[in-house]
Amino acid sequence: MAASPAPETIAGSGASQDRAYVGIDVGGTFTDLAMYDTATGLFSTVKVPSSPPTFWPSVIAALDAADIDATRSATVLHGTTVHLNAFLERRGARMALVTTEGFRDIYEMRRGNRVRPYDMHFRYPEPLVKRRDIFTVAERTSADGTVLAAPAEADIAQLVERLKDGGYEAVAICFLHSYRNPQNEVAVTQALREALPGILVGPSHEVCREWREYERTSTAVINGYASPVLKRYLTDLLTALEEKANTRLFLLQSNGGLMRAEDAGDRGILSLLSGPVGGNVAGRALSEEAGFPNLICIDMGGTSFEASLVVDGQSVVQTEREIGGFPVLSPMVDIHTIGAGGGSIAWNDAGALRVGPQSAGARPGPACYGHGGTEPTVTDANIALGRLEDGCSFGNLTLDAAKARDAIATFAAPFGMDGEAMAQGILDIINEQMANAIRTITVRRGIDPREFALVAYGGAGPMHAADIARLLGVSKVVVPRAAGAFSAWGMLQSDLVHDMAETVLIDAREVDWASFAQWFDSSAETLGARLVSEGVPRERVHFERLVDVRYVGQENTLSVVLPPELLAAPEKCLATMRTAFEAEYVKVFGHSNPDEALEVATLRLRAKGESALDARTLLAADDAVPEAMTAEREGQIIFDGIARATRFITRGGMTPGKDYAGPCVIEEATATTIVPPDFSATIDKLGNLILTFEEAAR
Amino acid sequence: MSATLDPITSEVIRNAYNAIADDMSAMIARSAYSPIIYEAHDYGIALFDRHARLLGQYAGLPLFTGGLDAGLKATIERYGLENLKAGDVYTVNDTFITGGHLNDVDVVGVIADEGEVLGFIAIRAHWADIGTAEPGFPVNSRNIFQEGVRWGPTKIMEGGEFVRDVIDLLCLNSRVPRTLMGDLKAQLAAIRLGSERMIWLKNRFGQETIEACGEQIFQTTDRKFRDFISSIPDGVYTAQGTSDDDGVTPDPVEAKVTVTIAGDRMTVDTHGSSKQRAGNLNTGYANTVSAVRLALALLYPDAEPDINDGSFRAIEVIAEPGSIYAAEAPAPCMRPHPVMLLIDLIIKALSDVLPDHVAAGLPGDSWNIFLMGVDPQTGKGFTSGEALDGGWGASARGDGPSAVIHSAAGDFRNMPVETLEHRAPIRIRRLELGTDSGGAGKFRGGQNVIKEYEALCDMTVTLHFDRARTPEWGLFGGEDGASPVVTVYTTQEPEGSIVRKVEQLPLAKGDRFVAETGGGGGYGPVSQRAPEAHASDLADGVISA
Repeated sequence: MAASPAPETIAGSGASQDRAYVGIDVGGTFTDLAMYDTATGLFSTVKVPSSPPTFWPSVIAALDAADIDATRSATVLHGTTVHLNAFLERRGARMALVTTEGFRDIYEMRRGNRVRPYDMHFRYPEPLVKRRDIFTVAERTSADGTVLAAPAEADIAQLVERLKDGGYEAVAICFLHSYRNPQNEVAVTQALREALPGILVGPSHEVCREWREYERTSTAVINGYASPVLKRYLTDLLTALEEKANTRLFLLQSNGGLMRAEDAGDRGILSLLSGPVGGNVAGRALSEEAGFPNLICIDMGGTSFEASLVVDGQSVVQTEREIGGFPVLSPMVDIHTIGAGGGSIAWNDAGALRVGPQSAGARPGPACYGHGGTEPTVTDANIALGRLEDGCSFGNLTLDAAKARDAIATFAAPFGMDGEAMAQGILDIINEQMANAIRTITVRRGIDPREFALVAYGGAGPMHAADIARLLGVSKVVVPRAAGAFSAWGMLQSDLVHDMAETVLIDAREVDWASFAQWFDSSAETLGARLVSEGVPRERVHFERLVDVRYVGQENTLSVVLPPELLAAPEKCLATMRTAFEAEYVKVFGHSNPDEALEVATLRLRAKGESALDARTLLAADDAVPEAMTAEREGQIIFDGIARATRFITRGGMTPGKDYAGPCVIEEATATTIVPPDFSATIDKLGNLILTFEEAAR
Repeated sequence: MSATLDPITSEVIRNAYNAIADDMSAMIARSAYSPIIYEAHDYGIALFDRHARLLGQYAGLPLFTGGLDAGLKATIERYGLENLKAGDVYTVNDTFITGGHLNDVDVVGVIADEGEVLGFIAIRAHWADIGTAEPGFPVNSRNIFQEGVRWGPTKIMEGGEFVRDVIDLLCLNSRVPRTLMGDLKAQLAAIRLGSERMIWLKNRFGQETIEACGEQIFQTTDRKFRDFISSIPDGVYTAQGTSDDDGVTPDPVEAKVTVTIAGDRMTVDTHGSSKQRAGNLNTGYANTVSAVRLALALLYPDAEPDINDGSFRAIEVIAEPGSIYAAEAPAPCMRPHPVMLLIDLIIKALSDVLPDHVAAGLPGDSWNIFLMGVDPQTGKGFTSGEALDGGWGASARGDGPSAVIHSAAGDFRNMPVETLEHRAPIRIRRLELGTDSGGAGKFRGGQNVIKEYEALCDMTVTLHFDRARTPEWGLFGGEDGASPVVTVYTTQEPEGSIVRKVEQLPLAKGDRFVAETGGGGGYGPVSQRAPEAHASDLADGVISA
């Protein structure tokens, strides 16, 4: 696998007529596969159980289930949560950290803040590295990047011995001001890599060139903690794939782009959100073809609700967030998660009604699971109101409506409410929480959610999507084709994306634009060469040059795009950048400060190797296996206290272009969509299910 | 529209208030100018109804939010509710109204729609400079006039337009008018966002429903807090301690608290504490009330209790006018350390009856360091202000966390070394947790912070380090944590001299000082410490033996 691949498109309908393109999303319970076969022009999906704890066999199982045998050429585009989960569940590598002498405790000290100020017993999660595993080196770089003291060889030799004795799998290195000048980190890294083969040596500057030592240390530590897990997984998977001729593997990164699997194992931080971002990537792909430039992507599962945005056809990316209680500085699709899901429990708080964030989990699970759960959950409310059918199957469970109703009625009594009103109330509260989460991500970016359409996927999303949309004033809901394998579908169209960043911290008036242009060009050369080595033809390589800008004195920045032709005209750069920055600032904050000086904080280069497989090709493809059909039937669902006769329709049986008035329920193999009385449903020409809010349409 | 009153609507509205406050917080943090706001989160936000009752809040700095009603009520009283209009914004910083020192400025926005006041948004944020006698926060001011410009409720925006002459007055009295305006604009942007969302909420549910639900939310919360207070045995509980000195006269400042639990009511009385002092650790009564509220919320068993107008109806706060806890003009009030001590003393007073709720001595001060000078390389002036962290007290649940901010400051973040060194000609030579600094015990107190500074050019340092006389105490046989101390090394005194409070001490290029904060108190006798916990501490160098 180490040999450099032939220069061909990763996903090209032109060059590789005989290639299968396969997106595989390995989740905790199920593994979804979406495939487009260039030979037949057919599209198909497969779902197989995931295979914990190693998970890689489920990839092979999915490929087998999709009938991809050893003679086929296949490009596999992959998303996994294996290292994220290992990190969250504290099953990562045994690791050491090396810091600047005198600063051993930067990592444990964090930022000193208490995020729950009224909690006397607040504490952060245990650090991933114990103090006894933190080593220091006498070295120092100043704030302007001058090396004041280089590490001495004798000290490094001593460090090597201590690391050898410790039996570590990974070593993270973070020195002060390495974001400015990584020279000392580089020196120690080289020495350790030579002396400690087989141990992952991860200096902070290789994963993050941004200031603030605690956050950068945390990023490097998580990288060291999670990467060996990912690397083991990928090595096993790549070995298994060798049995399959001409198979090439790419991994989805947190920034929404792909990278070659062979390069991914040492920088696990870049793909930490590989699994969760899949839906947003798919939303981005859908956005262009389905004619919705602005999308709110929602994924509701059993315990959590995730929301993210596509704006003007692009994923909204953030450069900092907290994961598992630790900060990460790395470009990531901005996914907002709250504890709201089908398993969220309703509870009585001294007479006030609360829902979540505690979840019933799988055991005992909602009351309707029949595992002995007595606390009513969101899923119980759905089945009590008839939104899920009594006796319907849910994985390998059969849901029991009577148990759900009993639990809710018992719970409702002290409130003086009947069970139906309570069930509706539980849904109202959870829907409102999900709408608040969406408002949070839109408001914080100065975006009006009413200009967006909502795309719903994942287990419970399509059941709640119309209700959430109504709360936000959103008039269109999209339940995409293959909603159950949406992430895998999106991966098929992902681009290869690599980022590079450098903190510069300079007053905009003092910028030497030629030197900026030079940084962008040389970075473009590095990343462009990398894309070509990954099989992207030159004409599909694109770059985005961004600067993070703020008013002098501020901390937070906004990103401004600098086109290369602008950089070629330095005299225009400042004014153009200022105009773009202030327009964005007004959009986000409602005011700007034209008298203030600007500071350029960070340069960012994003290199894209464009996929040739686009949503149009995929959406135009016929299903290899048509959607199963069952006869339409009539049931009863309670909407806002009124029992309504409701049609249950199979998605595959819907006529494209025809309007189906709510209330109705649209069923497919992997999802159930509720169309409330004030919505209507139709299948568009691409096969997407579109719900429209009727009052808004009028 | 008639009022709808059901638990579902109440819960939806309650969630909305907290979501609105959180979103406003994100707005401020993203657009503010002062590092102390965006980096340290030195602000609090509260939403009130038209009767100035707290609906929801962002508690970033909990001592701020607990006192925001005082400035609002004074504003309503001054201008009259009937004269408050949509787009009007007021500000007040008078310590004797708001309780906070003058730099902590309240900005109050009126939420009104269709000619009717719906409620208010109040934001208290630390303004970088409001015209103190010297830059920074003096340690040795002798009256409030030396502490900056003081204003009562003042209109700064009318119908969405700045009241220019007032803004000019504020800017002319600040050393950093642009920063002041940047921070103010961030507060105003958040008020605008909050107002829009509150009006949207009103249009959705109707004002009658909103008010009825508000009352229901208050009553539920009131009941919960009363249930908690009722669970504490009736009795009179006391604790006392001292602040080291007042910055002007060397005598210790006495703080005494008497907590009376009678049924579902709690009374906190500070009689027996020092009369207001010549130095500036006095405070306005509203700050004392806020501290008591915070202490109750810390003792309350939920990690994230509901904080609204119902939370504090069961408490009464008594402070003698003219004492350090209810100072009168023109007492200097810049550094009200006894307020921080009061929080800890209330917890200590109740420790015998709430042994599982309390913690041993908490970080006892915000341990401020303020550096100022002119950078010879650039010719530009610089200032750098910091609050340092200390060890949290141990509790029945385990060892105290190390290096966290004082309880009054909540979400306040420390200054990264890389940021500090970039902004000022300082070199940090060492930043570590102190070995043996946490009070020993069955459960050990959190470790303190040791931070060594080197001046890279001539400058001055102003220090406020308290709690040496009353270190963070141990409980139930646990030992006290390490005492805070600063040692300054200069060419004149190469062996070092000990300083805790000083105003603009000159440092020459190459001079150094080592700041050591307080360690957390221990809980329970050290003889009961688990051997494996002792061994682990030893392996990690937390203790030396």
